[in-house]
Amino acid sequence: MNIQNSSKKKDEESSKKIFSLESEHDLIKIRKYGRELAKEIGFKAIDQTLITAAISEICRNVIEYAGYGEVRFEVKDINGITCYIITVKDEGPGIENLEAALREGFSSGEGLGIGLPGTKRLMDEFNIKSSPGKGTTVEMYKYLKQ
Amino acid sequence: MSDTISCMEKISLRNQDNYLVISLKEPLADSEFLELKNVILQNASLDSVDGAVIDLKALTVIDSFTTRVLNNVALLADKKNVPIILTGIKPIVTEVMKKQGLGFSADLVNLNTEVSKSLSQLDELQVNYR
Repeated sequence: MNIQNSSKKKDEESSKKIFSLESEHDLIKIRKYGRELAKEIGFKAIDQTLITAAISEICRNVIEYAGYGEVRFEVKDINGITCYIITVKDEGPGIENLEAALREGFSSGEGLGIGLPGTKRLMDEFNIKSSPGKGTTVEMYKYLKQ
Repeated sequence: MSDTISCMEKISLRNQDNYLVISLKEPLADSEFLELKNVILQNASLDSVDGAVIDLKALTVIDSFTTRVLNNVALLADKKNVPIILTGIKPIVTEVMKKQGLGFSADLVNLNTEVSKSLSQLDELQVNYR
C-alpha cells in the first residue's frame, strides 16, 4: 500500500506545519493544534473531534512502537476542494502484517491495539505505508464539505 | 524527553453525597491517566464512599487508550465493590467513539444512568477549561 498520488503534489499549498513527536506531552500539543487548525479551516465540531481522535490514535502508535516521529499538517486546495492533510511518519519497527492490521477486529495481542481500522473510519482518505525495520507513514485526508 | 508528570494538578477530588468525585480540569497525558487510575483505586474504598464519579467534561476527545484505562478502572474498582460512574461526556465525543468502535463496558453505562439520578448536584460541578 503506497502513499499516492503524484498529481496532488502539483497543487498549490496554502499552509504547512511540522511537529516532532516524542512524548505524550507532544501528543497533547499536536492534538490541540490539529483541532484548532480544523476549526480555523472551517470544519464543524463533529469533524474537529473526528480529526482530533484520528491524530490521537496514530500519534500514540508512534510513541508506543517507534518512540519518535514527525507530524505534518497541510491544507491544500485540490480541484476546488479544501483538503486537510495530516501525515504522521516514523522510522520505527514498522508493521509486520499491514493487511491484517487494517482488518476489522485485528488485535496486536499486546493489549494496546493499534486501532487502524477504527481510525480509518474517522477520515475521508487514509493511506498507510509500512516496511518492517524501516518505519511507517500514515497520510490522512479530511475534505471540507460546503 | 521526560517531563515531570503528575495528574494531581489537573484534577480535583471531592466528596459529594458520599461519592468520591474526580473532575478533570484539562486533558491528561497517558501516564497521567495511569496515575489517575491509581489515585481512584487508592481513594475509593467501600468503607469510605458509595462509589466514585469521574467527571470528563474537560475532554474533547476520548480515544482507545483512555477508553481502555477507564474500563480497567471500573473493572478493578468493581472487585472492591465500588461502582464507578462516568459523567460529563460530550455527546459529540460519544458519537466519535461509536464511529471508531469504542465503548465503555455495559456495567459502566448502566451505573452511569442509574446512579447519576441519585446525584442531584452533579451538573453543578465546577470544571475549569483550558
